[in-house]
Amino acid sequence: MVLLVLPGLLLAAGIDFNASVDQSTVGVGEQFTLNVTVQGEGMATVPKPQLPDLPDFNLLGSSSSQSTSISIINGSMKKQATVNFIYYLSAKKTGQLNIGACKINYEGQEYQSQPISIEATKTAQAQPRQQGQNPQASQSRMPIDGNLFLSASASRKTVYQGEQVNVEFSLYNRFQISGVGDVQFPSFIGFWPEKIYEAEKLNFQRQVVDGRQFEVALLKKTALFPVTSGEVEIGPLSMNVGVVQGPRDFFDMFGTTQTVKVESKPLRLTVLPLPENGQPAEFTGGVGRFTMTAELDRTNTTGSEPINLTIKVSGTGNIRLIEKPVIPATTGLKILDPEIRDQVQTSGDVIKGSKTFRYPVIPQADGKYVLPAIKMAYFDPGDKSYHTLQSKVLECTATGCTPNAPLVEATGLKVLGTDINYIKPDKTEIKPFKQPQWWLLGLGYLLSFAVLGASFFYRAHRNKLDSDRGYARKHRSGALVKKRLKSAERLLLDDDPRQEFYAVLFQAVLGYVGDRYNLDTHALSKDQLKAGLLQLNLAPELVDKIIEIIEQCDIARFSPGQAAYKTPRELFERSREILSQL
Amino acid sequence: MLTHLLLYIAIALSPAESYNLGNKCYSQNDYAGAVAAYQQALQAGPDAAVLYNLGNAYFKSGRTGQAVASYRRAQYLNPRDRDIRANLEFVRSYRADKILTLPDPFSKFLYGLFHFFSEREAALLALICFGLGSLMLALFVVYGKKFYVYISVFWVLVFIFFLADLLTWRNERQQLPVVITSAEVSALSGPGPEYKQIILVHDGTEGQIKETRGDYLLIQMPGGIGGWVRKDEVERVF
Repeated sequence: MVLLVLPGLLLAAGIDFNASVDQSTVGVGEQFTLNVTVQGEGMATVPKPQLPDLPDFNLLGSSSSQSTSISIINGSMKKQATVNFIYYLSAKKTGQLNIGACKINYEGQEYQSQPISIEATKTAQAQPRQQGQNPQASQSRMPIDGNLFLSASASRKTVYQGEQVNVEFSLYNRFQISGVGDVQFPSFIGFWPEKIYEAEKLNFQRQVVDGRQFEVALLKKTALFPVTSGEVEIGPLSMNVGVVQGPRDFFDMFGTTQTVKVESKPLRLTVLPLPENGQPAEFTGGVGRFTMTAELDRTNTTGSEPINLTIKVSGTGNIRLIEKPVIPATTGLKILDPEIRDQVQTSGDVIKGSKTFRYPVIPQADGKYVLPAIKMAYFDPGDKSYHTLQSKVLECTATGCTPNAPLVEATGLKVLGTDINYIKPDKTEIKPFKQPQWWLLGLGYLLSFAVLGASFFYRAHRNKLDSDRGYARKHRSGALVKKRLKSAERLLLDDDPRQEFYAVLFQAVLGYVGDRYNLDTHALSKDQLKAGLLQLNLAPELVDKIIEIIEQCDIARFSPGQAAYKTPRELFERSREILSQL
Repeated sequence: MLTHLLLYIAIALSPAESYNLGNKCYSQNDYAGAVAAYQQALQAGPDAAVLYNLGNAYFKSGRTGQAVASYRRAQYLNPRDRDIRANLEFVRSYRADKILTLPDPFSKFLYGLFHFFSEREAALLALICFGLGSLMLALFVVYGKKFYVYISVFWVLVFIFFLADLLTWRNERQQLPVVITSAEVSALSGPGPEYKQIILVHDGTEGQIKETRGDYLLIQMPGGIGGWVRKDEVERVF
């Protein structure tokens, strides 16, 4: 055996170790090959595999071959090495024969291949082959069925809603392939897909299935997060494959290419709903394993400048499907809707990443605010239970929102709901509403107008007093005569009416007549006065009475000896009566 | 049963006693009893507090339209009461039809300005301002000092404001506002059951009576749409 040294590789990863036979049914004595393959990345030296005891077979010979493929993915180089050990065997007897597990010791670890069972028949199945012949050529005109197929496989058949499940689509092939085309990828309805791998070209690797060797190419690998529960079917992936069939005879020298449509079988998954039991109120749809941090970008703000509250949830699981956590309301802080960002990457076959919720927080009033711990729950499908994450309590201080406001500690006041305001309290008395009396209002307006009108009359009167002497004399005549009569009456109370009484009475009568008719009475003689009064269309009897009183007064004043025909009381009453008639 | 008993008791009670009885029913969540007691208290005449509590009792017993009508009557009597305003707003936001258009800030301000005083207050204040204006003018006429004219002009301007206030209220009453009180009403295209149904309106929607024909009223909703509805399906506010 050849020992292979692959230079430049320091790290050794795990290896694939397989054993396969080229035919599962052989005739006794017919030669077949047992192919032991060691495949791995960065293999240094590959020891010779240890064959099992083969009591039912003859070992006819062996050979080995080695190939290396180098691929550069994301700037890192991968070196894949394959070493084939080929043993030529023949069966000694008929019946179900077993090739036990082959073993290899690589870097201190023992690998074993699957045991292979072979049916040996009496008659030879085919002509004994020559050594080193191309296996494909010997299998010319193999049936397509069973030798070329697409497989769809899921990492598990039963998952929780939101739990990650990986599906893989691979092409299994034992033919020579000229090319593929018309690839129809399934649509993952009912899932949130996250791409892990998608083949850009067919990258075949050798793999043994049921003891037969296949060239296997991984086409697509996707992580799926179910969003609904129940039985969910993942549709098939289909593609056309050009298969080169080996030459039938001499004239069919290059063989023919046949286009075969292959389709994977639909996958059925059972999606379990998340348990209702014990689901915390803070659950926001996360399924996996997460951690949470919450922080404020600053703790002091002035003038209602917003502070950013950043909540970061990171871990493995359905990161993209996590909804925003509920921020407990804090009095005096207005918390706006968050800006949400998520970042997802694949690590091996696991989807991990982080989701960031950035809430602008606007203080409404000055004060020291305490944001209570933010809680968020997720479901861990590993232990099938809910876990609640809790952030630390955050504090911030706002100034300059309201000038000169004292710092107030925000309390835990919360608005739980709205309702109508409560009823008014009891009363001891109810005075039913009465519409205002419109006639009363009208009276008020009339009164206003009356006041206004009266003011105009008053103004006019004052103007006349100033401009019209007669009007002015007449205006004051009444008051004057009343005053003079009063003093005359006082004098009358004396036992002996004296000169003074007659003088006052004379003044009262003559003055009043003068004022009333705007006459200069003191300068007139009795006859002139009489003529003047008669000119004013006064009744002659009245004029006579006035003259008589004046005469009586004159007699009493200037001729005391002559007896007055009337008593002073009678004269006074008479004068008052006459003056009232004017 | 309890309701009828309460109603029977209430007949012999004064308005204040009926009102207090209604409050007691309300606090014990007997809203139907509270409605009956408050209605009894209103027999003697309207009162803002009674109407407000009646609106609450109506709302709690699920009669949005009657609640809106009660609150509007209460607001007519006491337009500055915050509780009345808050509950009217709440009940309006609660009802099924939301065809009210949002008023712009200026007309909202004007509405607030002209609904600060009740109609009665506006009437009295208008008279007082007119009286003061007249008095000042009379003083000017008598004493001839210009100072009195300025004061008079001021009072006349204030009088004009109250006059406008009065006219606003008057206009509001004359628009014949109504509230739908049935749970669901199909407004018809004519005054009779044989006409086509044109609009579906719900409990609490407000409108104005445009025309009356027999048992049918032509109601116009905000936004200009309208139709004929039966008289017993609506409640007139004033």
